[in-house]
Amino acid sequence: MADIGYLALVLALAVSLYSTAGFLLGARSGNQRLLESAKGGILAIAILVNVSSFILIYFLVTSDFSIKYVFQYTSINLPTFYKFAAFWAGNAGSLLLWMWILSIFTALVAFSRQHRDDRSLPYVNVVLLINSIFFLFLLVFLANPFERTGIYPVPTEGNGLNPLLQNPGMVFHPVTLYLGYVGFAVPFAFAMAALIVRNADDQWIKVTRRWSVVAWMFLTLGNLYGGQWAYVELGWGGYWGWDPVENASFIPWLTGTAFIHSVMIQERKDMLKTWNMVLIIVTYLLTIFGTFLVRSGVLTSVHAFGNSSLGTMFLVFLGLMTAASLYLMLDRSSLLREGREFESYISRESSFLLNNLLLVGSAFAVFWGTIFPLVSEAVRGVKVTVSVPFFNQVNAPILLAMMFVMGVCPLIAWQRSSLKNLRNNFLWPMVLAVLFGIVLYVLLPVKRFIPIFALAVNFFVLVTIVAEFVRGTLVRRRMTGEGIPTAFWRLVTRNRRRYGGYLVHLGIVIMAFGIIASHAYKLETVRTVEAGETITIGDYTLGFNGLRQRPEGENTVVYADMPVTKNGNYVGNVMPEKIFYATWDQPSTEVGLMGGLKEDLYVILSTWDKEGTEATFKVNVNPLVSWIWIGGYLLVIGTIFAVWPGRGSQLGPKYTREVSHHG
Amino acid sequence: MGKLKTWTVTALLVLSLASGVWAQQVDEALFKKIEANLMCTDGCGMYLAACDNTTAQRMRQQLRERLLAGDTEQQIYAYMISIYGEEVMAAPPKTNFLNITAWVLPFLGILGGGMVIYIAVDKWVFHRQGRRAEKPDAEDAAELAAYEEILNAEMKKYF
Repeated sequence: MADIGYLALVLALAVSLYSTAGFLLGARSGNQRLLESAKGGILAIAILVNVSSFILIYFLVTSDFSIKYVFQYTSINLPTFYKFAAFWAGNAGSLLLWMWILSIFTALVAFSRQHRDDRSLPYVNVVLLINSIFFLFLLVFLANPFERTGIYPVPTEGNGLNPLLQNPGMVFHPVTLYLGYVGFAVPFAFAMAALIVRNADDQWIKVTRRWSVVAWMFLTLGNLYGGQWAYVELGWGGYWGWDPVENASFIPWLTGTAFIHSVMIQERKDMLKTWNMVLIIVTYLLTIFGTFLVRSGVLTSVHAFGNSSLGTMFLVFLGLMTAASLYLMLDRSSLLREGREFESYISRESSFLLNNLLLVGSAFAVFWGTIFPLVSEAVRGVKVTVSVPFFNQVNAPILLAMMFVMGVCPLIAWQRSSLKNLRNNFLWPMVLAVLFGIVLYVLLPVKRFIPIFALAVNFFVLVTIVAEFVRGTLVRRRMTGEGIPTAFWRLVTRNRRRYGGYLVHLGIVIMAFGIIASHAYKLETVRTVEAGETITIGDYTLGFNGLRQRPEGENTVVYADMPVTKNGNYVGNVMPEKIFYATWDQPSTEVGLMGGLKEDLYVILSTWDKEGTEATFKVNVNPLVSWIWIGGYLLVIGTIFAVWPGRGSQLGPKYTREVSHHG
Repeated sequence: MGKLKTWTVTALLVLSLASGVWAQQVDEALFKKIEANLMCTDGCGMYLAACDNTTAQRMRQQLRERLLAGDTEQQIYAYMISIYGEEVMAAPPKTNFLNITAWVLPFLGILGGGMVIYIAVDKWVFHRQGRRAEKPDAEDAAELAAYEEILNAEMKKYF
C-alpha cells in the first residue's frame, strides 16, 4: 500500500505537469476541450493527493513501522489522536499536508461557479499548479513520506513522538498555519493571472476577498495556537519568544493584514493598484520563506525541523517565483496606472496608508531582525543573536502606533474629514482614555509610565470601536423608530462586512490588553522549598508536601500536588509535573496552571533533590493572559460574521462621480 | 590589649558575617534585567530567562557570582561576551556601526515610507484641487447642470 501512496504522488506530479501545459496551450489556442481536460486534471490531483494522505494516516494510526516516517515519529502506545497528528511532525508529512490543502484549494477555485466566466481562470490554475509541481517534486524526489525503513524484521516499536508535540495546541497550530499560508496562494494566483491576461481592474481583489480574509484568520489562529502551545508546553511562562520560526509566521501576518486593508482603497478609489500587487506578492513569498526557514535550518530555532537539502530547493523556488512575479509586475506596470486623487489630507484613506506603513514597517523590523545574524556574520564575521529584547523594543512602539491608528480610523470619514470634525470625534474617547490612565496609575501597585500609556491607548481604541456601534444604533433608531435591540441587530447584520471588521478590531484590542498586561505586570519567583514549606507570590500561597510519582501508561510522572490559598482562602490545587517517557530521552514539563479572567497562576516544577522532599519551583502570576485567547476567538467570530455569504457581506458601491462631487 | 584583640576579632567576625549576609542578597531586579538580556549558550536557541536546562542554570549561577563579586551590569556583559562571544547577548550590542543599523534601520524605513506617503498624498490632493479648479470635464459639467436645475426647481418651490 505504501507503493500506492507513493505512486499517487508520482501520478499527481505527472498530472500537474499535464494540466499546466493543458491550461497554457488551451488558453492560448482557445481549445475548450483541452481546458476542460486540464480542469479534470486538477480534480484528479486532488483525489490522488487525498488518497496518498489517507494512506499515510492509515499507516500512522495502525503503527506500520516498516514505513520510516511512522517509525520515526510514532510509537505503539501513542494515543490515536497523536498518531494522527504525527502526520505533520516531520518534514515529509508537513510537505504532504501543505500539498493536501493546496490540492483541495486548487480544486475549489477551479470548480467554483463564481469564477466560471473569469477568463483569467486558466492562468490562476497554472499559478496554483506551479506550486503543486514544486511540492509534489519535493515529495517524490526528496522527502517521500512512504519511504521504508529497510530494517528487517520490521521493528516492533517506533521512536515515538516528541513529547513537546503531544499537546492539542501542536495539533491545531500547523494545520491552521498552513490553511493560512496556502490560503494566500489563491489571491496571489488571481493577482498574477490578472497581470497575465492584462486585466488591471479590481476583479481579482473582489473574487479573492473571502480567500484573503479567511486565510488571514487562519494565519492569526495559527499564531495564536502556537502561542498557546508554547505557554502550556514549553514551560517558561511566556507565549511568544520571537523565535525565527515564530517570526516566519508573524511577518506574512503583518503584510497580509496590510493587504486586506489596502485593497479596500483600490475597491473604492481605484488607487494603490501597484502597492496591492506588491503586498500580495510579498505575502505569498513570505509564506514560502516561512516554510523555508522551518525546513532549512539556516537559523537556529527551538522548533525547526533541521538541516536538509530541501532548504536549497526552497531557495531556488523562492527565487524563481520572485523573479517571475516581479517581471510580470514591471512588464505590465502601464496597466497599473491608477487614479491620483485624494480629497483631503485627513481621511479614512490616509489612515489606511498610515496603517499600511506601520504594518509593513513592523514586518520589515521583524524580518530584518530575523535575518540580521546572517548579515552580521557575512559582513563582520561575528555571530550575533537577535532575540526578545530587540524585537520587543523595536516593535512595541510601532505596534502601539498601529493600535492608535486603529482607534483613530473609525473617527475619520471616508474621503474627507475636517480638523473640527476630528476634534469633535476625538474629544470624548481621548478624555475617557486619559481618565482610564489616571485610574490605572492610582490603582496599580507598579507605577510605570510606559505600560500605563500603552493600556490607555488601547482603551482609547476600545472606546472608539464601542462608540461606533452605539452611534450607528442610535442613528438607525432615530431614522427608523426601531427599538434599540432591533436597531442594533439590523445595523450589524445589514452591514456585516463593516461591523464584522470592527468585531475583529475589538478582538485585537482585547488581545492587546492581555499582551500588555501580561508583559508588564507579571510576577515571577524561583524558590527551593522543603516539604512542609510554602511559597508566597502576590495574593497566592502554595503549599508543598513533597513530590509524588505515578505511572501513566509506560511513562512515569513526577508531580507535586500543591494546595493554593488566595488571600487566605483555599482556591484549589495545582499540579506541576515532569513526565519521563519510555521512548524519549528528555522529560517534558507540564505546567500547573490555575487560570482565571484576572490572572493565571502558573507553576513549573524545575528540579528536585533529597528524594523529592526538596524541590525548586518557578512560579508566575501572569495577568490577563486568558484575554489573549478570548480576543482571538472574538476575532474568528468577527471574520466569519463579515465574510459569511449573503446580504450584508458586500461592500457598498464604489464612489461614483456623483457621490464624490455632491455627496 | 587582650580586649582590643577580642574586639578586633569580634568586629572582623561581625563585619565578615554582615558582608556575607549582605552579599547573599543579590539585587533581584538587576539580576532579572541582566538575565533578560542574555541567551542560553548551549545552542538550544532559547533566551536565558526562558531556558531551564543545565547550561542555563550554570549561567544564572555565574551571573549571581559576578553580582556578588560586585560587578556592574556592563562589566557582567563584558565578562559574558569575553567568554561566549557577542552571541551571548540577546540583542546586538550597540557598539559598532553594523549593530546600530540593526536598531535604527526599521525606524528609518518607516520615516522614509512616511515621507513618500506624505509626498504622494500631497500630490494627489493638489492634483484633485487643480482639476476641480481648472476644468470640470464634460461629464462634470452635465452633472452640474442637472444638479443646478434641481436646485433651481427646489428654490422656486420653497422661496
